[in-house]
Amino acid sequence: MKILLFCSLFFSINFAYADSKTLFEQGEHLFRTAGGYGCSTCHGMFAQGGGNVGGDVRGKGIDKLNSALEKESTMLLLSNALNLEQRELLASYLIELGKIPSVEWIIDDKVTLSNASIKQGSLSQLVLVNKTLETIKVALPFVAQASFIEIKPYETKAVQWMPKEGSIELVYKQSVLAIEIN
Amino acid sequence: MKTITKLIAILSLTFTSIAFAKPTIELYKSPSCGCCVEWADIMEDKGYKVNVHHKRDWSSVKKKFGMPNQLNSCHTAVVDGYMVEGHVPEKDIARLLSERPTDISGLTAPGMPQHSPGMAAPGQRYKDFNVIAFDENGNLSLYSKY
Repeated sequence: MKILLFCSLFFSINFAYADSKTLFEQGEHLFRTAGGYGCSTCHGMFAQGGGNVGGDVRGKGIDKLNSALEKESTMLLLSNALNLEQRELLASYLIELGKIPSVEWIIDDKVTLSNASIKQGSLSQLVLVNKTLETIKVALPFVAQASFIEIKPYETKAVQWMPKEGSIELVYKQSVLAIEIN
Repeated sequence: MKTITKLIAILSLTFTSIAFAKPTIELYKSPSCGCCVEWADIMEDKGYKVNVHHKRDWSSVKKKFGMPNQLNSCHTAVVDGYMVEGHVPEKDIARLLSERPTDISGLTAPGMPQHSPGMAAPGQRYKDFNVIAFDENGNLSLYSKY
């Protein structure tokens, strides 16, 4: 009996996880392809902004999305391309992303010192945008186990990590990101 | 004599306008993109004729020019043999068509820069973005900086 209970619990958890993963992936795909160019063109690959005009929209729900589609001049035409189901899918994807605290690091070829803060103890995302014209290899001590992450020119990559209390400083040539973890 | 003078004047005017006529821009965009229209309007104001092609996918148009995908924007223009991706200022296109470099296949303003033509408010200075040249092998170089 116990084994049966365990099995049904195990499978229901895994199926639920698979379902939510599929929805998340569907939302991500739509976010990157909607209208033929994707929301990501204006809002960044992980909805974090990326220095583009649309800015950070992580955590925005269906009301914010509908309002933007009705009022923002650059989004008016897109409102005809998204049905209710697709809007719900996009909003749920953004809500899920919003649950993951994130820090963005735009690496440019000029001297930059950026400051960020993040809470300790919850799975977080570091989003890196390479705005140089070369493929770069960035070391991420205390963030990623790999010795470096490789990013092509104008590519965006995200790394998941569990911040621990303290402060860390990430450096790539003249670009510095200081993160305060509380 | 008067007729000959008139004929010469007409012919020289015709040749001058042909010599200085700006080429036609073939613009590929999604029907749901509004800022692409703003960019097209600016190009038309500068004297280009813009033919708009509404598509859901125009990656086949871009393929031969060699631009890496991550330098995408919302629209693609083909003008006089070069590809122009996104909100590239007319000044750069005019320079491209005047110099006609043989070592690049096009220009891009990647993403959606806030202060670029078609995105910036009318009369606002263009700033905070790069225009990048690319060749058929995906090699990149800085073309201009705003």
